[in-house]
Amino acid sequence: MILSRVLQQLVNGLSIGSIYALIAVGYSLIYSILRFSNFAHGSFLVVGAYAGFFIVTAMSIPFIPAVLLAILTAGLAAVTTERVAYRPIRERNSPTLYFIIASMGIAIFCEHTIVATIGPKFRTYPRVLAATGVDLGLVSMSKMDVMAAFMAFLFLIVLQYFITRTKQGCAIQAASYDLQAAGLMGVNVNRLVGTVFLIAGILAGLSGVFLGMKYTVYPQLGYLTIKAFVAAIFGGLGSLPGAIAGSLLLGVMEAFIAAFLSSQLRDLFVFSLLIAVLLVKPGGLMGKYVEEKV
Amino acid sequence: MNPMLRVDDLHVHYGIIHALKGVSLEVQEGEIVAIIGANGAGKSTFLNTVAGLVRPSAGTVMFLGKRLAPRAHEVVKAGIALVPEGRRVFGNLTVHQNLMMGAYLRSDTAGIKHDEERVYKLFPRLQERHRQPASTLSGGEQQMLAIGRALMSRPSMLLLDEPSLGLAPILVKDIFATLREINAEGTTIFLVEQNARQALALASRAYVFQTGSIVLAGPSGELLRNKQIQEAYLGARGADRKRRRQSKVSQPPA
Repeated sequence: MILSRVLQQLVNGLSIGSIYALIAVGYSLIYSILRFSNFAHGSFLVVGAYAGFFIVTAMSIPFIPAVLLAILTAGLAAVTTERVAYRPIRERNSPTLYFIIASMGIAIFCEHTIVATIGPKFRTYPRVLAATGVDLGLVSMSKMDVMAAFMAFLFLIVLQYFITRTKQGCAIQAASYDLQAAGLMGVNVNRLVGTVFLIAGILAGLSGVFLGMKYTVYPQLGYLTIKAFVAAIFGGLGSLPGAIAGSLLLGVMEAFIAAFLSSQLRDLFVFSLLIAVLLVKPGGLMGKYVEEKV
Repeated sequence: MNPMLRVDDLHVHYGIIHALKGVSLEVQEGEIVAIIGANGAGKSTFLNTVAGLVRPSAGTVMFLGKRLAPRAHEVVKAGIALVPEGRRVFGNLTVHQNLMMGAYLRSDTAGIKHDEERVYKLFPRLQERHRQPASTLSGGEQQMLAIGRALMSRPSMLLLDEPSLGLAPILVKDIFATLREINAEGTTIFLVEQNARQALALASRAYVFQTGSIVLAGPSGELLRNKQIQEAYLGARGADRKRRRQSKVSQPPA
């Protein structure tokens, strides 16, 4: 039945899209504060995925606390990365290119550290939830996917509330416009940037755990973040609702192309979309194209 | 009397550029003091160093008898607020949110509310626009917002970097009158201005900066009468100025 197939792909797309959203939002948040593409974002994801894997397999901790512990680990990895690699560049007022190159270096360093220590092989999460499915008549979803989407939206709603309704969130918005001027208001800029990396790392870590459970855990799992970057640009870089909308749309489009055209065309489509967006509407769907004020 | 702000032998380097070459000065509580000088004289660098945006390579800044911490948020906490050059209001936030950012370190809700009202009284235009994003304000309104935002931290000293830059003369007059009012209510004012005439009319005394050093200092009236100052900064008529204009005309088009 065609309706059932369409709905099923819609659900599949939203499911992967919500995981992209977790990555894209953190990536976009870092971009909006420090104005560079953090290529080490995938490393935060991988740290979360491995931490989750080892905590779930090696320790007898219940699933939810294990996930929380794993994403906290990823958050701390992100904060450490900022502290060690980015802050010195920031305090020297070096060009943006230095950030980009440092972030690439971290991504490579992290991948090879994992290959050298934990090893290059694929690891499968123990089947905590994945085996059982939820049947909703026309469509079915694995319990894992339902929970992943639910948790993703829970985290994103909490984040949106934090950013728009709290004093610290307002400071993050102000800093995304002018980081130095935020310091003149009495905001501790280093602490604010640290908070942003903690949030971004936690979101990336959560996506890492879900991806690890959905597929497997391996050192190159972080490469998937490139799709979330595309989603963030598609939605409008620097805009959090844009990053979420872009991610969900990208997930759905991917699912439809894979199901109705060919799964080989899927990635080709993603990057063609990136090029098209950059050519036609570089601000993305909801991008705030900030004009420089004199 | 101990000065409120005392700067001793302040040096700043940007790489190999020696931007401040041993600046020493004092500001007493309740004063309005100006720094005048040409572009690139180090005026902004000086103010940004006091505000904690630029790290000095040598020298000390004492405020209220204590050494001032070198980071922006600690300077605000000590009681100094900077209205930066180019205003730098948060264009993505509303006027009200901008003012709340100015009160970031405070948590006395009633006091914050009171001070917001005070800012609206000083600049009624801001009240009309308090729900608008700051990016939609005119240049003059943004300058008002930048000053109001700085006042929200209840500073004992207000630093202003080129408050007249890019504003219509009538607006400059208004804003300078408001600065006088703010000073009368007890806030010490220390400003940097290229518009020397306006600055000297407002301030009781001034320092003249040239290539990173203080070359002259004194009461505003005295500086206004000084021939060198008149020629260099007040646009006095003279052979020198005419010559400069001619050389400008004769320059080949770029």
